[in-house]
Amino acid sequence: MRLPVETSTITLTIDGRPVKAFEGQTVFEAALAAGISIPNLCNDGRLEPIGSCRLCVVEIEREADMKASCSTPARDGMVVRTQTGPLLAVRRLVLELILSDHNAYCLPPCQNRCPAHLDIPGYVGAIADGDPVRSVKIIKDRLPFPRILGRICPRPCETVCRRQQNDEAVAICAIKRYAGDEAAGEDTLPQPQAAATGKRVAIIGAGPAGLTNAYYLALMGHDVTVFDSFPFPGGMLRYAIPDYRLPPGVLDQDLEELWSLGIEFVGGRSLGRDFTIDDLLDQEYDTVFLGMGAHGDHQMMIPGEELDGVISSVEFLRRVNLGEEVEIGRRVVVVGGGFTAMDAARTAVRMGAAEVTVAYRRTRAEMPAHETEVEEAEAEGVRLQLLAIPESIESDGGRASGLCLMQAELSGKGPGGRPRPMAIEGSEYCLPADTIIVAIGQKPKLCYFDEDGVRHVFLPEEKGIQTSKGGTVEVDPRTLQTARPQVFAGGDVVSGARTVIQAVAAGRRAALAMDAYMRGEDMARVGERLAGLEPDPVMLDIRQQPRHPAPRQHKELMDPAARRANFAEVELGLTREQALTEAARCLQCVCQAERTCELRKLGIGYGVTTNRFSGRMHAVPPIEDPNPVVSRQYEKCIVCGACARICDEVVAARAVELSETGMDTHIACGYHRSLPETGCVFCGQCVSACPTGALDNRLSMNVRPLPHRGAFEHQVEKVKTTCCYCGVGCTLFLHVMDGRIVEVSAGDPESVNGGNLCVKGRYGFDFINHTDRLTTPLVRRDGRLAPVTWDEALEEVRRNLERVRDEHGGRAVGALASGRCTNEDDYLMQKFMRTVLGSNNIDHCARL
Amino acid sequence: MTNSIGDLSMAEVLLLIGSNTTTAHPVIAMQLNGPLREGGMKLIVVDPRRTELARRADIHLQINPGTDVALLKAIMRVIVDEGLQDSLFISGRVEGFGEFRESLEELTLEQAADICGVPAKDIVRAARLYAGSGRSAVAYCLGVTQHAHGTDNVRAVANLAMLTGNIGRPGTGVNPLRGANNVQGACDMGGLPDLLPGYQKVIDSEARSRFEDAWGTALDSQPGLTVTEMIDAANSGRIKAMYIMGENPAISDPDASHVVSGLKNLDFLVVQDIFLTETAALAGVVLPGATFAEKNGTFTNTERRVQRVRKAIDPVGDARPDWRIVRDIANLMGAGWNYGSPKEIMKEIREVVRQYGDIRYARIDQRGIQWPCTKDSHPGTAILHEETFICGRGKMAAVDFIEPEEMPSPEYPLILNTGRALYHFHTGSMTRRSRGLDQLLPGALVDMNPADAARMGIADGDTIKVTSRRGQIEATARLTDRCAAGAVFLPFHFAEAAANLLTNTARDPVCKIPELKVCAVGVEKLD
Repeated sequence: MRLPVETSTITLTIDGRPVKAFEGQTVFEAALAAGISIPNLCNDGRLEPIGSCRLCVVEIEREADMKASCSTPARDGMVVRTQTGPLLAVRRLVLELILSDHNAYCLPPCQNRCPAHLDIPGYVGAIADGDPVRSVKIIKDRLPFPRILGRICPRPCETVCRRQQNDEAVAICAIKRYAGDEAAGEDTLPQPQAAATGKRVAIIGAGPAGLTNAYYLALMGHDVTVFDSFPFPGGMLRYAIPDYRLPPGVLDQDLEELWSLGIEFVGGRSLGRDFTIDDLLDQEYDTVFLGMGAHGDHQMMIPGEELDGVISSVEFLRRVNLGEEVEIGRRVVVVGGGFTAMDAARTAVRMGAAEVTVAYRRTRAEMPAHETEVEEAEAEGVRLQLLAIPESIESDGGRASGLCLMQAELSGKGPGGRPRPMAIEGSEYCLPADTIIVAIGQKPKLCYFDEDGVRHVFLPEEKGIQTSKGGTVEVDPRTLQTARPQVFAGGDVVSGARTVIQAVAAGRRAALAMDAYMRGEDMARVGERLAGLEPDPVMLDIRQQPRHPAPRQHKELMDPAARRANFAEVELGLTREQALTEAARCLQCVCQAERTCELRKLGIGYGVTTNRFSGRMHAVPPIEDPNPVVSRQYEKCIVCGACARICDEVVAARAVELSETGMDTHIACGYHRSLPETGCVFCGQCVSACPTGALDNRLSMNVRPLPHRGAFEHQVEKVKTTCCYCGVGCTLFLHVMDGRIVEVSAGDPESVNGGNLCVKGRYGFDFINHTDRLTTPLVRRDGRLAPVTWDEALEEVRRNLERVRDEHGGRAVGALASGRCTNEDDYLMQKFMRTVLGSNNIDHCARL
Repeated sequence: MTNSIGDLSMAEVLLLIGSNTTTAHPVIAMQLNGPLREGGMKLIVVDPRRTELARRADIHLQINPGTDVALLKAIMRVIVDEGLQDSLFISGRVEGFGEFRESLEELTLEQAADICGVPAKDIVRAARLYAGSGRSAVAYCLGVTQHAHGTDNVRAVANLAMLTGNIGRPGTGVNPLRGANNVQGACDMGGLPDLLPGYQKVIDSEARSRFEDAWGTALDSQPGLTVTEMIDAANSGRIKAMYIMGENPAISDPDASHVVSGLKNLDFLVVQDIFLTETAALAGVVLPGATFAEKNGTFTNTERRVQRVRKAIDPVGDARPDWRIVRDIANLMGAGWNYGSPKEIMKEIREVVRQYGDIRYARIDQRGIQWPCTKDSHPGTAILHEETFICGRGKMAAVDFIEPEEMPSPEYPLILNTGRALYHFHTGSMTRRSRGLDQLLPGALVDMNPADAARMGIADGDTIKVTSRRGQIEATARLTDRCAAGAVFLPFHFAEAAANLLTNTARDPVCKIPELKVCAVGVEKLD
C-alpha cells in the first residue's frame, strides 16, 4: 500500500481547472483527488501504478506523446488534458482491442428478448449439468408451464441467440420441453408456498394469462379461484391449439401443480352472463384479474361471408377440440398467415380434407407463423396461395362454393411497418372450396348473446373499466391495473391476440402488482419497480468462441404421411443425449460481474458497439480448481495483471502470475499447479482487484441478481460495518439480499484495513444464516433442552439467579462478558453483575 | 496498542514476538508486506515456529518455548553493555532503571543463548538492530501472554521499549495485537473482575464511589474472580451460578474436562450465544443472541479505534441482541433500566468512561476514533504516551526468568504449542459453519517436525494420538519444518480434537492467564 506522505504542494491544470497536488503524486492521483475521473482498468489504490491498460492516457502540453497518467508524476505548472478527440479515439481503440480478446459476454440477449424474461442460460446450464429438476425450478420462477411452452412457444429468444455468430441458434425451446418432460412428477416449485395471507382473488378466464396469474398469487399465499365459461381450464391452450401440437394429457399434467397449490377452478361460468365484477367484490374477493383472452373474430368484410361453409378459425378449432362433428368437405381454403391459420389448415388435413390451401395476402417471408410451422404444414400437403387478397365468396345453393381472390403485389410500407399488398387490376380468380376458414386475427369478446339472441355488451357497462376502440381492456401498462383499483387485466384481452408467452408474462406481472396492492403498497412505486422489469440493457458486440463445436440438435418429427391421418403429437422431444449436447452448446452469455465490471462500463461509455477486430484469442488452459471460494474464468481475462500483482505485492502469496509471452500471455499458477497447490491463502484479494468477471467470488447462494434475474424481487443493499473476527476491525460492507448476507466487500483504502480483507473477512459469513442458529430460548426440562417463550426463559433466569443470590450471596454468581460482543453489550453485562448481583465476578476469555 | 496499525509499517525495525501475524492478523501482515518488499523495514521475529514472516525476517530467533524473558533480558543486557540505550529517555521518562539494570546480571549472554536455544551472535545482532534504529516497534500476540509468566513477558517487552526510548513516537511502541474483534472493548467496558469501566480499580474507593453515584447503588469493594478462578470455584462449589454471554470456555479454556466438570457442578448455568456451543449444551437455560450483522453497536479494535457495528438484517427466528436480553433480565430483577437502544447505552458510557468521553455515533459514522477521546470534539489519540506516561513515569520492573511449569519428560517428550489456523477462528462455532472456510480446512492438523516424525515412524497424513497428563486427542499429522524438532503445534478450533483437553491450567500469578502455549505431550501413530 502506498502510504500518504505529505510533501510540498504543487499546482497543475487539468482540463482547464487548477488542481492542487503533492510532490510525488501521479497525474492520475491528482486528478482523482480533484474529482476528475480518468478511465482505467488496471489502477488499484492498493498497488503501484504501472499503466498496463493504456486507458488512462492524457495529453500534456509540450510533450509529444500521450502519457499514461497513472505512472506520470505530477509536476508544478503542468497543463493536462484528459478528454480530447485523439485521446477518446485511442481509448476506444484500446477497448476494442481488449474486447476482441474477451471471450465472454455480459448479458443474455435471449433472456432480454423473452417476454417473460426467463433465465435461459440458467435453465439450459442446468440441463448441461444433467439436472432437469433444477432446470424446471429456474423456468418456473418465470412461467409455470414448461411442458406447454416447450411445445408451442414461437421462441423469439432463438432469433437473437449469439451462437448464430458461430453456427446455429441453440434449441432453447426444445431444451425447455426436455426439462419439463424429464422432471414431470418431481417437486419443482420454484419456491415454497408462502403462508396463507387470508386475501382472496377471483380470476376470470382460465387461459395462459389467468392460470399464470393464479399460480404466482397462490405461491404468494393468496386464496385463488379461477372462473371460465368453458367446462375445462386451459382457454386457447385447450380450445384452439390442436392436439398434434399440444396433447391434452400434457396440458392436464402441467396444470396439476396449480390444483395442488389449492387453486379452485369453476368452469361453465361466464362474466356478464352469470355474474358481474360487482358480484365478485361483494363476495369479498380482494382483487379481480380479467384474462378472458381474445375469442372474437376479425371479419374479412367481403360479400358472402355470412354463408354456410364460412367459419371462423376460432370457432372451427374450438369445435374440433370439443369433439363436435364438423363437416368440412373435400376442399378447404384457409385465409390468413399466422399460427391460427396453420393450425386450422393442418387440422383440416387431419380431418380428411383432400385439398387444403392457405391464402395469404403477402409473401412467405411476411407470414407471422413460424417458418417450421409452415414447412410442416407443406410437408403434410397444405398448399400456399400467396399474394392473394380475398374479394368475395361464391355460393352454390346458399352454401359457399369458392373464394375469389385478387393477385397482389407488395408496395410501400403499411401501418406496422409491413409491406402493403395492392390488388392488381383484373387479376381476379377463384378457388373452389367446400369450407372457407377465416383466420385473420382475433379480438376480445366483451359481449354475449342471450337465449333470445340479444347481444349484451358487458364490460364497458361494468363501472370503472375502460376499453379501447379496438375492443381491448385498458390498463396501466406497468401494473396492469384498470381504472378500477381492485381490478387488473392482462393477456389477449388487453393486448389483442398475441402469443402464449406474452400472456404468461402479463399474468405474472399482474400477480406481482396484485400482491403489492393487497399488501397496501403505493401503486405508483410498484409501477416504478415493475417498470424496472423491462430494462433495455446495452448489448456489447463481443465475439465469442464456442467451446462445444457440436451442430444444433434437431427434434425428430413423425413421418408426414403418417401424421395426416391423426392428431398424434408431431414433434418428438430431444433424447437425453441430444439435450445434453444441445445445452452444452449454449455460450452462457451471462456474467456475475455484469454490474461491477469496469470493462463493460467503459465499453458502453465509449460506445464500443462494433466488432472491428476478430483474430486469434489468447489460449486458456483448462483450470483444475477444487476450491470453494474463488471462481476463475480466464477466457474473460484481459491480462491486466492486477491479480498477480496484488497477490505478490500485498498478500505475498504469489499464487498466480503472468505466464508465457505475447498473445499467449495469461494468468496461471506457476508450474501448472492448481490453486490449492500454490501458496494461495484464499483471501480473494485477487477477486477484488479484477476489473472484469474473470475472477469472482463463488457465492454461497450464487444469486447475485442480474437485470432479469430477480431485479424486482431481489434488491441488494450494502451495509457498512466492522468485521467480527480478529482485533484489526476491518471495515467491510455486508451485501444483503432477501434478509441474507450474500457477499462481503472491503471498505475504502482509507479504512483501517486499507481496502484489504482476509479469507475469513471475505468468506466467513455463512454462519449467520446457518440452520444451526439458535432461534428460540431453551430451558432444560427433564434433562433435555426444550423450546420455551422468552417470558418463560427470562423468568427461569430471574428465579434461579435470585435464589442463588439470596441463599449464597452475589459472589456465588459468576458472569462472562465477551470479546465477541459489542461494547454496549459488555457494558450492560458488567453493570448487571456489579449493580444487580453486587459482585465483581465478571470476566471474559480475552486471555484465552 | 500504544501506537496504530499503520505505525507498524512506518517502523525502521519491527520486532515481532509470539505473533504469527500472517495467520492470526492477515490484514496486518498484508500491510507489512510493502515495507518488507521494498527493504524499508528490518524484521526480527521471535517465535519457536518458523512462520511465514520468520522466513522473511532479517533475524529469526527460534527460541525454545517459554524462554522469552531470558531472550529479552539477554538482548537488553547487550544493549546496556554496548551503551546503546536511550539515556535521555531513561533519565527523563522512567523510574526503576537502577534495579532493572542490576536484574540483567542474572543471566550472561551465553547462558541465555543456551536456555533459548539460539546462537548468541543472533541475540547480539538483534539487540544492535533494534536499539540502533531511529524507529523500532514491538508487536506481540498471545505467544507472549499465554504463559504462566505472561505478565513478566509483557514487562520485559515494555522494558526493552523504554530502554531504547521507543515509545510515544510514530513507528515505535509496544503493540499487542488483539485476537478478537472486541477484546479491547470488553476490557474498556470493565469486563474484568478488578477493574471498573475505563480501567478504574475496584479497590480504589474514590473511583468506586464515582460509579456508585452514577449507578445509584453500592458496589462490592473486593475484586472478583477471573474466568479460570471461576471455573475452580465452580468445581469447589463456591460459585453456584454462572451467566455466560458469547464465550465457549468448554473449548477455549485449558484443561477442558476441568471446565466441563465445573460447569456441570453449578446449580444454575445460563448461556447466551448464537449456537448451541459445547458450553451452551451444559446450560439450564439457553438464550439465542443476535450476531454482529443483526444488531447495532460498536467494537473497539486493537489500535483502540471505536468503530460502528450496524444492523444489516433482522435477527434470525426469535433471537435478540445481547444488550436487550441483559437489560430485560436486569429489569426482571428490579433494575429499572430504560435503555431503548445501543446509542442510549453509549451515552451512559460517555459519562462514566473518560476515554470514551466524546465517542458519539454521529462522530464515528464514517470512520472510527481512537480513544482516549475525552471531551469536546477530541480528535482521538493515535499514539499513547507521547509526552508522559499516563501514570507519570514509566516503571522499569526487574523481571526474573522462570521455566515453563511443565517441561518434557520421557513419557511426554514433546512440547505442545497451541494457536490459530488461518481458516478458522476461536472455537470454530462461526468458521466451521461457513461453507468455504470449512471446506478449506475441515479438520485438525497437528504440525510436527519431519525429524521427530521419522523417528516415530509417522508419515504426513497419518492419524496420530497426542497425549498429555490431562487428556488425549486424535488428529492428522502434517510434517513441516515450521515446527522445531521436539515441538508439536495444534490449532484449538476443533471440538473433536480439542487442544484444550491437553493444555495445562498453570497460570500467571498476576493476571491469571493460563499457560496455553507450553505443555508436555507424547505422540503415537494410530493404525
